[in-house]
Amino acid sequence: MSSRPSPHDELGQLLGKLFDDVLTPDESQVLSRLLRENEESRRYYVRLAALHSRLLTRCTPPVLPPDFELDATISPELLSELPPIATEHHVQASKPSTPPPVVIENLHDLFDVLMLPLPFTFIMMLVALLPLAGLFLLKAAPEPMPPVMVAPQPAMAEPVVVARLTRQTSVTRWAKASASLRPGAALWQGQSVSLASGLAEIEFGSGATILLEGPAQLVFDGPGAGNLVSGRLTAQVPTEAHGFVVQTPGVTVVDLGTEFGVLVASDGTTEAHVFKGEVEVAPEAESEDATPSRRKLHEGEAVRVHGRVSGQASRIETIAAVPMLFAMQMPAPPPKATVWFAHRGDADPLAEGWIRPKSYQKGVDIAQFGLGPIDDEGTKAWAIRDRVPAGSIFYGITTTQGMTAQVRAQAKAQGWVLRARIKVIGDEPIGTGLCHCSYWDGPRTWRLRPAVGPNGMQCLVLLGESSLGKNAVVEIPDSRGRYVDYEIRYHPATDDADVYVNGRHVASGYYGIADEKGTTEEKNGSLHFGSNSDREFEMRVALVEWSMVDKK
Amino acid sequence: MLSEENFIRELTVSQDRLFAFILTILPRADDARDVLQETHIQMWKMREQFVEGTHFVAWACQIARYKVLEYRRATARDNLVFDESLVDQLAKDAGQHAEQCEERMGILEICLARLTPRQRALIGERYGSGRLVKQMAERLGRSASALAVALFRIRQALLDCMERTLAEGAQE
Repeated sequence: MSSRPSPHDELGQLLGKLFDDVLTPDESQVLSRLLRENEESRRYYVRLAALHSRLLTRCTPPVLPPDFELDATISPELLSELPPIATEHHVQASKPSTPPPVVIENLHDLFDVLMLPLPFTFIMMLVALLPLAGLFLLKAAPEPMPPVMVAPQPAMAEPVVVARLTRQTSVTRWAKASASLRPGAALWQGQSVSLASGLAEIEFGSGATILLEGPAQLVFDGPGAGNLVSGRLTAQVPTEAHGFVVQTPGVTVVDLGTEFGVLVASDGTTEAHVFKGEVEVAPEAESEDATPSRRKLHEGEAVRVHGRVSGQASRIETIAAVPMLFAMQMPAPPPKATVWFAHRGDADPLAEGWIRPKSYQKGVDIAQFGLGPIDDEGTKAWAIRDRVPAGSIFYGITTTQGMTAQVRAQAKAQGWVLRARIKVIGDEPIGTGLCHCSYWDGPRTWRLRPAVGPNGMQCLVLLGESSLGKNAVVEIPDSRGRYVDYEIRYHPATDDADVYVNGRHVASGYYGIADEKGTTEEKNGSLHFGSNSDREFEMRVALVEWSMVDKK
Repeated sequence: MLSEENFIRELTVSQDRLFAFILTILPRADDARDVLQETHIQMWKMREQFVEGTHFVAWACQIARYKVLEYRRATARDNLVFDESLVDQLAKDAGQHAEQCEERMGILEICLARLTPRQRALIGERYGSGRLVKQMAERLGRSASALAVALFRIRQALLDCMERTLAEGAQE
């Protein structure tokens, strides 16, 4: 195991000392640095900590009185000397005199009173049942029982709710630590949320609304302030919430009545883009005494702030505001639709009813393609590793599998939705998109072509006409090594489609392309996904789903 | 909202995982126990806010994390092992680990049985007696650091054994 430290290297020694409570404050700092810098070390630490925790809980001995002998035989006589159990039958014979009242200052004292190492959960049950127990005792005991008075609890700071999750897209996924979040959830001061993908609309107590776009991490600083640790957000701030603050590592962005976007790139730079009104951007001061250099930004303006590096001052670069980088509004909720054809997870598409049309394989040996299931850090997918220089491979649903002219005509009248969740991995930019997910309907084809752009970032080539122009390339932010959710929603009323990427609306009026010659049966009507690359690359397909909108 | 009975049931079964989560970000056992209690109290107070069908442990971990931060603010800096940014990072890592926790821990007993008698005795004394390593070291005539190394090696052996057993189980 490569991440396993030796007991004698620095990490091993410090971890040993940590779990045995002999770590000095200086050593704590070194250990913190080692853990912060190395993900593998952190993972190892988490596994060790879980083991340590289990060893602690499994071996905790009960706290018994010193004179208690475990192996003493409990005779029937001894049993009869035990204090009676407080039932109606025994209570009258209970203690002859009333002992002084026991005042429980707090719940810890309740432990002491009971002198038992009860699991805390049991205490919770007692607390829950106290009112009932009290009723019972009052009824059962003719003489007053020693009163148990619970003194007021020392003030415990209540979590302050500062915001609320109002909406999220159908493809929104929260990271595991935030997995319980649902629309309506309260968000507390100090709470940190991690959005893995998709959009989340959050309304702050002050009235400001943000759209957080995954992957992102946000900490709630207060009803009018959030700390964007990573990722991007857009903020809409009504008049009453002016002064809304977005803090990023090294930069403070203060709203002065506006709509703006903030992003924290993976290299630590912060960008602030103003779409309406004004904001003030203040990089962190060079020292505690120094006054931060503030800058006001107006509509259409943006800055990129490079953080302080090795003692150098932070640098502010003026750029133009780019609304495309940000989700400007929550998409309309998806129409109610029924899934007709799907590939899901790591199932073999052939077993799900898809075929590999022979006409496209062009005699290529299928074994040369690396096809197979993959568990991609929790996301199950079907991998297509294309190692064949001039070959292609598709999975399809054609007329024979049910995509008949009748089905397509019905979908054209009612509407349809094509969804896909795909990750493309390639060592070099594949700008034209060498894999695809398409729906072909007679003379027109709607074709998503996921691709890899510069820096390994994924992008989408939208073949055909849309509001973005012809064959537009949509860059997908923060998509390196991640699955991307694509969606095309066809509207019969306008005979065109909206396109969504990771829950964000990226194009409207998508008309598709006119099919090349459209003579074969597959081309006349089919659903396809696959690769026709002439370079080595890999696509991992976690979902392809074609649904027909339900009849109103 | 869960019934009180179901809430207590969930609370009980999630206790070990919650303790492991807290201990990961607040590594001193006594501190972690205190925060576990505070977390339970807070969860009980907020039980009506838990949405049935959502992830109970994830919800509990959120509250625990909040309580850890609160605890940290009330504690002298010198007594804290990790700084706040690392706590955040570890909370994330620990949350991801929590799901495998139960299965992992189910095989701990098997692996404890595979230790040598001497190793078992040492682990037993460390965890069973509640003795601190410093006290153990005095009794055994060894330095606390040397003992910490020995204990670390045993924990590593346990972890290796558990992960090997898990991997073997997955291959079957």
